[in-house]
Amino acid sequence: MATFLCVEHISKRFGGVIALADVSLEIEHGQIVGLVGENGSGKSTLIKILSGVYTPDQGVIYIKDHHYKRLAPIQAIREGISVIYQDFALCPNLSVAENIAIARWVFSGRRMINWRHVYQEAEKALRQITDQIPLEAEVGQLSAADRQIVAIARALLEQAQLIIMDEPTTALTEKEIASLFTILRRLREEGIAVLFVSHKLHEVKEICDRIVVLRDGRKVYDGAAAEADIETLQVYMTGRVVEPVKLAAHPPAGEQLPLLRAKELTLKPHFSGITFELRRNEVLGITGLLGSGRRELALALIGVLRPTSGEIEIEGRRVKIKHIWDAWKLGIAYVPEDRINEGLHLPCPITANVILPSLPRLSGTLGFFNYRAHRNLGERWRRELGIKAPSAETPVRNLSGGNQQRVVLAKCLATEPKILVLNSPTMGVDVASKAAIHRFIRALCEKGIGIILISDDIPELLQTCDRILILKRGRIAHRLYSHEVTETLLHKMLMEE
Amino acid sequence: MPNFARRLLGRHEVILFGIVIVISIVIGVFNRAFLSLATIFEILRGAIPFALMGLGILPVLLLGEVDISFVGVAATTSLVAHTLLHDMGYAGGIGGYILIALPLGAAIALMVGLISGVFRLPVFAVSLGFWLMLYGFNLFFISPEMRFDLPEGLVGFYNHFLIKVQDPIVGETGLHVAVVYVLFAAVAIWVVLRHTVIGRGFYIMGGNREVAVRTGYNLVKLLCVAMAVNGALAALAGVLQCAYKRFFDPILFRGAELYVIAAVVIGGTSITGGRGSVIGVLLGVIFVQVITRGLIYLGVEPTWQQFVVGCMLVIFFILTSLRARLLGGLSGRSGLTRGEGK
Amino acid sequence: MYKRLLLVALALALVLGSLGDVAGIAAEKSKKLVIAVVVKSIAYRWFQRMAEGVQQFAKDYDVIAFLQGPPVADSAQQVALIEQLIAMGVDAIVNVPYGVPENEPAQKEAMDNGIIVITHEAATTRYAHYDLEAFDNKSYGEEMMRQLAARMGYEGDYVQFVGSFTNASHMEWQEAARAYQEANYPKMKSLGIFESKETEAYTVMKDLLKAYPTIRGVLGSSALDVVGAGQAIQEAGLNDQIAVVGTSIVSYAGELLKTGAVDLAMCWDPALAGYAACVVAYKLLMGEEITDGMDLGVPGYENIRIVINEHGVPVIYGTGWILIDASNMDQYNF
Repeated sequence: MATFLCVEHISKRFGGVIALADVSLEIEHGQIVGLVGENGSGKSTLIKILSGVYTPDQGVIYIKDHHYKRLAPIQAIREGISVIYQDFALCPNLSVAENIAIARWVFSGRRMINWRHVYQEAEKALRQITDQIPLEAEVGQLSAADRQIVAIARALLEQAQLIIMDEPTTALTEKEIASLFTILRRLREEGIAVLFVSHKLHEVKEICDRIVVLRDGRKVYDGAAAEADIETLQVYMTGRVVEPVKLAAHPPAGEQLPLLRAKELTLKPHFSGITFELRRNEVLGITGLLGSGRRELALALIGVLRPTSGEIEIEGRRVKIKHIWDAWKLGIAYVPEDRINEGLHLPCPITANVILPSLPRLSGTLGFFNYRAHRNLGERWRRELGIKAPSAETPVRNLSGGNQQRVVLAKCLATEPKILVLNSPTMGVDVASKAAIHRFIRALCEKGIGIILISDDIPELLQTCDRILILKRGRIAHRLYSHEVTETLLHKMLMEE
Repeated sequence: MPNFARRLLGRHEVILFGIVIVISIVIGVFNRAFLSLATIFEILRGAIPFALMGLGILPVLLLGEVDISFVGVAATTSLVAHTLLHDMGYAGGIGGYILIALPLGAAIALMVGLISGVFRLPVFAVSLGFWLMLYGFNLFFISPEMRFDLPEGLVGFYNHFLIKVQDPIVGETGLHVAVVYVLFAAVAIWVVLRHTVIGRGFYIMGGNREVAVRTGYNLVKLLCVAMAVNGALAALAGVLQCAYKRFFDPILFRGAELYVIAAVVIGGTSITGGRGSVIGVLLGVIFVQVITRGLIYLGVEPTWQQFVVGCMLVIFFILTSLRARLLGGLSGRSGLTRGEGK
Repeated sequence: MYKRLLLVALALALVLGSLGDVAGIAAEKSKKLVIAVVVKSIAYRWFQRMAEGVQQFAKDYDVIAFLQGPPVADSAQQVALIEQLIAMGVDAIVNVPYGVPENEPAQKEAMDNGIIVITHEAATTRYAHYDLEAFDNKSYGEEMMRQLAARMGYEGDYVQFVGSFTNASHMEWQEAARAYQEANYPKMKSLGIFESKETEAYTVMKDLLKAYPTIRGVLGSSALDVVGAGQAIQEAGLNDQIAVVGTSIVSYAGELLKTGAVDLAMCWDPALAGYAACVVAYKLLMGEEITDGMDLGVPGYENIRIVINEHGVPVIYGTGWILIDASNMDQYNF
């Protein structure tokens, strides 16, 4: 196969920091190349150089028979390099057709818009990959997966030869990821190259022909995907061996009073007839596709949503959870999936974030609170969770995704909960942080906390949970012990209708 | 067919039109006089300056910017045009006024656009300054007094009607000729917004600024175009209003900017950009006219009228939000995830 | 830009020119009494008319009297003018303050310097020897009603206009008028007080005509109320059916007075008010006393009433309104 793009000995530094050091890379027509690396490994810098946003300090870029010392964004687009960013760069207020086709009209230098042509062109591009999205639909109304497809269609219409996808699966469910992969394979057949930037190794291994690993700005691995196994790639990514968490399977003690018991919980249309128990020293996994009601169920357990019928018992006592404060009081802590919007106050230091929910408990008479007196609390949690920050007074904004997630955890644990509800705790977190979080979850459960883990990351579920519930259309479809199932079996159970 | 009905009901404009009709009929039930041709024409007449200013502000709002200086532009341009023409001994009609006021209005508003574009300031901030400056200019440099000295050609402008009707109470009245200006402006703006590359730019810029820039649009350029249109239409509104009222007013429309922006927002225009339509603006303006003027027909105690109008606006916004939620729930997500959960 | 520069120059010339006047007058001071009248702004025709009255007074009483004011209504500039006048040592100052409280310190300073201070259109002021008002609001409102009622044949529905609900004077006039009607003309009925927002009387009147076909009278407060109402009535061809009475002046309502759409414009003549204020100042300078029921020798001020306001300043009320209709409108060129 012919080479489409080749970069040779690219280096880029920002101030004193080396972002990329002597990286060379080749992408052939119709090849899906996985680019993996932890946060700060130089992935984004490389994307920006390929799309012409940054100019490399050293090195040359060859695209077909042209070579560039510096590549302007417009040249990158003309050469057929198209980047699909995590936010997809779409206009939510416009129709699918317009989002796909309008850029071409602007580039063509025309003044008037021929709507028939816009629809024809958009249709042609979109129908190459799917025939399920209506052209007139407003993009803001579409799901993340559909928006991604619209972005791909736009790239196709712009005659993209290489589509760079930045973390394309972050916002997608397993099922959507599967259909994305079908589309990527179809693109490959048409000779379009894809640079698949991700840190989810099993996905990269599944879809890519070749895998390139960056670490600290250097290329440390470049080889066929078939030859690489996930453990090796992990070592290349992190530079050390990450121990997978070993499960000490707890056979649930029969007589022991369950920590939490849900009886026939119903909140239509999200879920109905949900009955389960959570015991001490147990991690219960709840999974299901997007829209299966798993998120709503979690929100119902912490009082954000109120079930229309059913009961919740905590340590045998029937309780009503009408508000998130009730949940705090009952010792139920919740770690949201969207930690930025729901969980953290970014400009505030770690300590302030950590002690916020514990304020009522820590305040003195009259509700006055002495911040200084509790500084050590933030410091304690920083050390305990290994949060990488100079001190507990560092604003949370300055932390990496993995470390921010640890702050959210610390915040919940500071309330000394009995039950911890975690929603996708490792979403968008790099491998090393992920392993650390998993270890930490297990350690907590050893201390006697009951944990409900909501996730659609299959390896994560199998590694950390004792039992797994699979939700389908708001009902519990399967109840499993995780040592009884394999990754493939669980995946199949999740997907079947 | 139900799909068609849903799409029709999904249009904000259709709902708004329905509400206007219903409110009109309700007022008409209480006071038959409201549903006469004379009243309808009078409401349309009253809507003219607001419709022009609303159409002018639409592209600016689409960009995600808010301008309030347009009322000042209307006041200054009409007053300056009158002062100049009066000094020249002009005796003609509205044409001379338009010829001076329109370019002047476009130029002043363009200045607002340029300043905010070049110095990366929100238009709102700059326009606050211009609002004060323009009214201050009128009072200090031109005339703090109303000017009633209309040229001959303008004196009869107020009763130039396209269609005349003989009303038993208010006598001869009709559809004022200035609606032609509104129709012309509405069609022109609609064509630009719908069918030109630059017009779509307003929507793209309002929807996602980054996309617009990546697509090759220039924010400053779009802003300048939007503001120039805004200024020109405001100037036209000012001249028409003064000609109609038969005096030139240094504080013309002062305070009316709130009503204009309210009307445009009622018409479905998003204050944060990216959403809005010409039809929506026209309907929003008529809605505000109907409820503010209809209250007189209902015999609502005048001191209560502002309060009642305010309540109606809040209720209206709550209703539209509820409708949006309801429709959102019905149609749900489309495309690949559509089959899920069924 | 050129025009603007020209305007700036013009404005400066006005201010400087007026100061020149003052300097010239100072030279003459030794011979005659000097009375200075300071107004909100000399740009308004209203105060140009007042200046005519002041000039007339100077001629009649053989004193130096002149009228000063900033080119645009502004308390700060007005205060600066008063301070200059104090420095020059004029004998009396008549002040028509733009912002009543803002002008008070300057008025006090003048009084402390032995200058007689008379205010006008400032019945609530703290510092002045006397305040002079053309009339009190209640009497004016009642007079408006008497005039309207006579033109309506003492029966029928009428509407009332105020510039805005927050304008205290307008509301006092209209409330006094309604109370007077209710007490004296039982066959008449008010349909309510409507807000014209100063310039919207025309639109409101059009709706009122449709909504209340029984309207036989309009009582306006703001100078533009009867103009807008008159226009709407004229277009409806109802000049003879509906009586329109209210505050206005010839330069606003002239055309409509001619056609009869507006039947009566009421106002107070600023020339007479200015003249009367100067008379009060003159009498005080001469050592005379101002007493209740006194005749100032000015039309509308033949039988004055004195009321002490809440700050202890005596307020002189005249009955200084004038009635303008088609027959006498030529005499009032403001």
